[in-house]
Amino acid sequence: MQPVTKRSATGNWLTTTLGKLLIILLSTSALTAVALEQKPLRVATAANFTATLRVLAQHYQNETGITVELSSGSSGKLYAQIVQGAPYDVFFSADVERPQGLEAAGLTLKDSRFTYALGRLVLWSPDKNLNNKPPALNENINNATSLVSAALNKSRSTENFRFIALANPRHAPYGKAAREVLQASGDWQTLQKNQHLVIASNVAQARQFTATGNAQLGFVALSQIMPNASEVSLEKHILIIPDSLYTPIEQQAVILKRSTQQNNALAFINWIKNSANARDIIETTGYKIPSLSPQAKPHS
Amino acid sequence: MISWLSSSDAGALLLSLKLASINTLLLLLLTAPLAWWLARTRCRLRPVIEAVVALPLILPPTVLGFYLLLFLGPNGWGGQLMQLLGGHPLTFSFAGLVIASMIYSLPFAVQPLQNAFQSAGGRHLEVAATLRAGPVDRFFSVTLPLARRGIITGAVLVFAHTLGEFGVILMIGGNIPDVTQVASIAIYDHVEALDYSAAHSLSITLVAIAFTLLLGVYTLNRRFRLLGSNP
Repeated sequence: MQPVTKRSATGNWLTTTLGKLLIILLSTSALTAVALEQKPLRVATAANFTATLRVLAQHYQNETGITVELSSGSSGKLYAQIVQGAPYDVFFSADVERPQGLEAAGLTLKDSRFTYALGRLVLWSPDKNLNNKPPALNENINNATSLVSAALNKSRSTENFRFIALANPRHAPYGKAAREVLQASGDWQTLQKNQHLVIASNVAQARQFTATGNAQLGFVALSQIMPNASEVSLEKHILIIPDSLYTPIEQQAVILKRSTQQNNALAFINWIKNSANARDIIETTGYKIPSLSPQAKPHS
Repeated sequence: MISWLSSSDAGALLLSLKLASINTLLLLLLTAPLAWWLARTRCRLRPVIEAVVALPLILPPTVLGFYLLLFLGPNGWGGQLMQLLGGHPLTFSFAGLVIASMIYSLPFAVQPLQNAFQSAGGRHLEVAATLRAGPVDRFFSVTLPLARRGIITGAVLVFAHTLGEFGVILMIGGNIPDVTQVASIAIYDHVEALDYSAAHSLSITLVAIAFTLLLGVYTLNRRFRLLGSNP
C-alpha cells in the first residue's frame, strides 16, 4: 500500500507542478495574446491637422503606451469613406458639417462630437513685406478690414502682382473664411472680376500655389506656416487676420459607432480635451483652443 | 441643357470640349513630323526618343502637374522665358492648360501615328515614286490615306484623354471660371461640396457628349473604309 501511496504522492507532486507550469504558460500566452490584441487606435484626420495630431499621438503614446495610427486626407474624402464603412475609430474633420452629417446618419458615438481646435486664417506672401503689426485680438472691424486692404493694395501696386490663392469657398472652411474677409474689406468683387483669384481645391493647395510663387499672395492656415516660420517672417510676411472678420473655423471630431475600441477612443479624446500638454501643443502649432463647448461632455 | 445644367457647368463643359479640340489638332499637327521621323529613321537615338515620348505615362497626373506648376511658374524656366518674352507665366491660364495637355497626351498622339506611318510606307511609296509622284504628292496621296486609321485612332485617344484630364489641370489650373475651370474640375468641386446631383448631371452629360462624338468618328471611319480606296 505504502509504495503505491508514495508513488501516487510523487505523481501528485508531478501533476500539480505540471499543472502550475501549464497554468503559468497558459496565462502568459493569454496575456501576450491580449497584448497583441491591443490594436492601435485608428484615427482619420483632415490634412491640415495631421502634423499637430502626429505630435499629439507621440505624446499620448509616451504617456499611455497606446499607439495611434493616422490616416490623413481631405475631410470630404474621409467622410465619404467613413459613410462607406472605413474602419476608423475617431475622425478629426476640418469642419463642423461633416461630423454633423455623420451624427445625423447615426454613425457616431452619442455625444462624442466636439470642437478640438479653431483654425486661424492668415494672408501670406513668401517674399513681400506685408508690413504687419499683429492686430490686437479684438481690434474693431474698420481697423481690421483696412489692414487687409492695405496689405492687398501694397502688394497690388507691385508690378508682378497677378494672383491671390485661396481654398475653394464652396466647400473648404479656410476658403469660406477668406471670402468673408475679402467681402468685408470690399475687395472680393474687384478681385473676382479681374480674375485675380485662383481657387485651390483645399488650403494645402492654396499654400502650394503661394509657396511656388505662382500666386503672389495666399490665404492660408497659420498652422501651415508655423512649422517653418521665423520671427522675421511672422512679422513681415504674415498678416494674421483678426478673428472678428470671419466665422470661426471650427474643427470638430467624432468617435465612430463602428469602432471596436470605443473606450480607448474616448480616453484619447478626453486627453486631447483636458490635458494641458495637449492643449499647449494645439496652440503652438497654430490653432486656438475652443472654450469648452456644450458638446464636450464626456460620455460614460 | 439649360435646365439640366447650371450655366457655369455648361461653360465648364464647353471649355473641356474646346481644350480637347485644340489639343487634338495641335498635337496631331506638331507630332506628325516626329512620328514620321521615328517611323523611318535608323538613328541609334530612336529608342531614347521613344522612351522620352512615353514618359508622361509614368508620372501620376498630379505629380506631372506639380512639376509643370514649378516649371511654368514665375520662378521656373518656362515662366521666366515667358517673362523674358514680355508675357506672363502660363500657370492659371488656358494657354497653360493647352501646353500641359499636350505634354500629358503626347504618347497618345505619337505612338498611333508612328505605327500608322510605319505600316503605310515601303512598297506603296516605292511604286508611287516609280510613277513619278514627288515626295509631297506621295505623302498626301499615298501615306495619308493609308495612315488614316492610325491618325483617327490618335485623334480619338488624345481627345478622350484630354476630356478626362483631371490631375494635371487641378494642379496648374486654379479653377478660374471660363478660363481653366473644365468639366472634370467642376465635377470634383460638386463632389467635394456634397452636391452629388449636380455632379451626376454634369458627368452624364460629359459622357453622353463624348460618346456621341466618338461614335460619330468611328461610324464615319467605317463608312469611308467601305466606300474608300483602301487596298
